[in-house]
Amino acid sequence: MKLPKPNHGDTIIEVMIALAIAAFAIGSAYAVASRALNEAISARERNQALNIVESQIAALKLRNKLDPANFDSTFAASNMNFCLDESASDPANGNWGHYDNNASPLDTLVAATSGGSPNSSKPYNYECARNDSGQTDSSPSNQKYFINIATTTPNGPSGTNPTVYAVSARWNNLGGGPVNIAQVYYRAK
Amino acid sequence: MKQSTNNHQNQAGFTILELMIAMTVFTILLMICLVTFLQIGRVFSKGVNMTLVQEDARNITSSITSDIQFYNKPFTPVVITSTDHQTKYFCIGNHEYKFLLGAHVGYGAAFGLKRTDISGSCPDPAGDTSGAEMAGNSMQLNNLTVSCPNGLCTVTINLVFYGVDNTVFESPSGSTPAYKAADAQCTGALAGSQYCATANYSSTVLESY
Repeated sequence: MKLPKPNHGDTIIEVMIALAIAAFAIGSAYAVASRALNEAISARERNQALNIVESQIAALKLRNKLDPANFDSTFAASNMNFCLDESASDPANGNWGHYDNNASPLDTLVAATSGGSPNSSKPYNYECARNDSGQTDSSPSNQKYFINIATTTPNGPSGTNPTVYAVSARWNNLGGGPVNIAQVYYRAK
Repeated sequence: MKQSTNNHQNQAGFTILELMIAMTVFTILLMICLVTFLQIGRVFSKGVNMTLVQEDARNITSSITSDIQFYNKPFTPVVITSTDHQTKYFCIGNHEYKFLLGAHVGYGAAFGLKRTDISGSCPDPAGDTSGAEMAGNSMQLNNLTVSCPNGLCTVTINLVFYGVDNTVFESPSGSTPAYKAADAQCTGALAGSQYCATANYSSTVLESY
């Protein structure tokens, strides 16, 4: 009588393959969840940056509604946290400070180009940085979003030269990724 | 006959020792899987909670700021405390916003923040819980301010999201209790069943009059 073939157990190779498949499945699930979280954080950051930019544009609108000199004197008296140099006569002249939009690190300042050297008593960047909550923060380690307001004067129709403001906020992506930028253009009348 | 006895002996079961080793290995594997799956679930719900609270904070601020923008008169934002000494309210145009600071929606609070349509006057909302709830379940409004110097209105909001456990917050300014602070934010580490998300948001718009 022939004996039945004995049942062999799994070899170590088979067990290892099974474990590798299980580890891969769990790892993928974790990667997906973790990516979803990063996307949520990234969306929150962009949301906050756009909000900061839109708030700056609201100030620019008021600046154009009042005349600039009037605006500057009004805002010199109040702590409005707008990224405008109160003593500047006209942003188009470059006599206001902001953060360089292309430089690295993010908190690289642009010096005023006219109306004298950067004023030490009155910082030429007037509160152009924001923390995670979108508020001004005196502690540099909390500063996250850096605002830049640049002006251009494209030739408008029939000799009008409207001032176009490019308002942007830059911030470092979570986990040391690329620098993000949210930019909105605003054309003054 | 001898053959059959041998065969029987060949098919002996596991010894108790083998069984214990196998079960230990299997238990460890199961534990690893369980911990990983719990961790995945936590990461996922953290993202979801963050999105929810952010979305609500944005909805609330954009509702208020668009009311300010489309209100055709100079707006003086005065947050009034109701005669019930708890509810705070203010009116813009044809909307009244009433809110309870530090009220945890879905955990016994009457409401968090509600918007009602009004015509003309701004009624005291004492005892009135009607209106559309703008803060979601498990959310709590800790701060809502509107200020309009020079016609430029800034709406600031702090909205937090947590479960039964309210020890998951810290306040940078040190106000207590931290979970009701106007600047409440989540602490770094969360234990198993705790969850936490916050949205600090401020938005500025120009009045349109």
